[in-house]
Amino acid sequence: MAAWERVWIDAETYSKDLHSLINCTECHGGQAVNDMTLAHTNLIERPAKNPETCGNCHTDVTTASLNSLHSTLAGYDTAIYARSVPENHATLEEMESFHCNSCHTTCGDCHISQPFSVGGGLLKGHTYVQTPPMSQTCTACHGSRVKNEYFGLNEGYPGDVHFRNRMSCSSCHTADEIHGVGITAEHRYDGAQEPNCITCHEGQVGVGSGIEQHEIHGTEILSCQSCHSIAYTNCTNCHVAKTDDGIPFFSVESHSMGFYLARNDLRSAERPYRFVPVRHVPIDPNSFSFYGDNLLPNFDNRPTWMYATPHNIQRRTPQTESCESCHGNDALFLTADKMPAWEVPANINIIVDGAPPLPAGYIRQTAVPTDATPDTSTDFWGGGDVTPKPTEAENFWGEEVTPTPTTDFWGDPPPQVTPEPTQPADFWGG
Amino acid sequence: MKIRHSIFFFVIGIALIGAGIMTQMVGIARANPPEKIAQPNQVVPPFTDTACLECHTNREQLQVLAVEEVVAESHNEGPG
Repeated sequence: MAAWERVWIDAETYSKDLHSLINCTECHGGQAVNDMTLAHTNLIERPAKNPETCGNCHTDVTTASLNSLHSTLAGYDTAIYARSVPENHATLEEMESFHCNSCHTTCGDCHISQPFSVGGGLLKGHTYVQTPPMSQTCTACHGSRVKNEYFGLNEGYPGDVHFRNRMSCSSCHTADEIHGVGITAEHRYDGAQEPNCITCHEGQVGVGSGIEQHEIHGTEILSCQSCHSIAYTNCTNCHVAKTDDGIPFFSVESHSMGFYLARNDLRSAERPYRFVPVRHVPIDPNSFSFYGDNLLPNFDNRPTWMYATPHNIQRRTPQTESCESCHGNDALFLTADKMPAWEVPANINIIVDGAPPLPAGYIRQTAVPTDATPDTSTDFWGGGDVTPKPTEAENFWGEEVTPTPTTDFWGDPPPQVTPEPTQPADFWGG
Repeated sequence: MKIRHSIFFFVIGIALIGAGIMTQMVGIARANPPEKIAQPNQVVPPFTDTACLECHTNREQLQVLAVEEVVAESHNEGPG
């Protein structure tokens, strides 16, 4: 976005915005004079940083937002402090002030401009945007994992089926969830599942759904993503530091695509699953050593492979091909041999000895697609239209265009009737 | 007599329902006191900041005046 465009007010659209009734200086400070220097003296570039600016009128939602993860970034504190001790918190807070706090989001960072952390710039000529455009706001920050997975930008892996059906973030993530209305969360997976697949897929989940694999596995053995996600990005060994000029930076040693199921260490009434996909988070005992020695003395208090909900949902995945895809397939499960020895203690509660065995009496079968006609896609993952259309998406997401799908939701022809279930007893030892 | 009884019970009924509603409302208000950051202004002062808009709606003028930000070279490595 050009420099002028970042501060250009579109008179035509902004004049229709109720906020245009408010004097500029009321929120932005400065002075309403023709002298540019004087006008910008004591200018408040991001007035929404002060909660009273928006909260003066939008009281309830602003109050809730102040406690939301977008504002508090509490997930970072939860993860880092759990691995540390109180004596180190001040040093870690200093580290966060350089490397984490720029991601704090204000009301204006989504509804008026692009987030400050990605350079800012007015979204629509200073017009208030009720539903922030996905590409300019949501995935501008949630880029390296969510965006790449959802848009299908990881080479060889299709985008999420919801993306291919032109659903944006706000199709699933409600305003209340994003604003933290009625939620006080310590991390992303704290409290109720929001969004929840069953909200839209009611009747297709668990026992009674009539779907063979769902009937067998129910709703308490596997999360939906365990079967319907594909490989995702795993990062390792992030280190933060500052240049000689004091510019903060990070360095991620390596990253790779992978998919592993492990025990669910966040098991609760809301997330009762025994097994979930886990993603390696970019941390090691010396991630913050630039700021001090031994800042994470309790490193083993939390896994380095964390509960994950990858945004790359597919109807058919390698896991859904046949029972043998998971049962007896150790490669799919997080076992101790898949990590360096020093990481094992941190993950001791989630690693498994191996894959669950096939049920007694199971007759091995060749993996075949279940659809009536062959899938027209050429990729391994069987995801239908695998080519992301970024240009179309860029135009689409902010505009609420009605989709005109030529196939069903999954990008597939209508499925054939599923065969009768085979012996379901004793799957997962449970 | 019957009519007087009906009116009596009707009035009592309405009073009880009203009392129930009032009790419920007070209970809710006590259970969830609204957290207010500030009170909305009742009156919006007339718009006078035309000098700001004259410049910031003038595309040509902004193209001349706006200065491209010098973005420091990123030293980050790997996915963020």
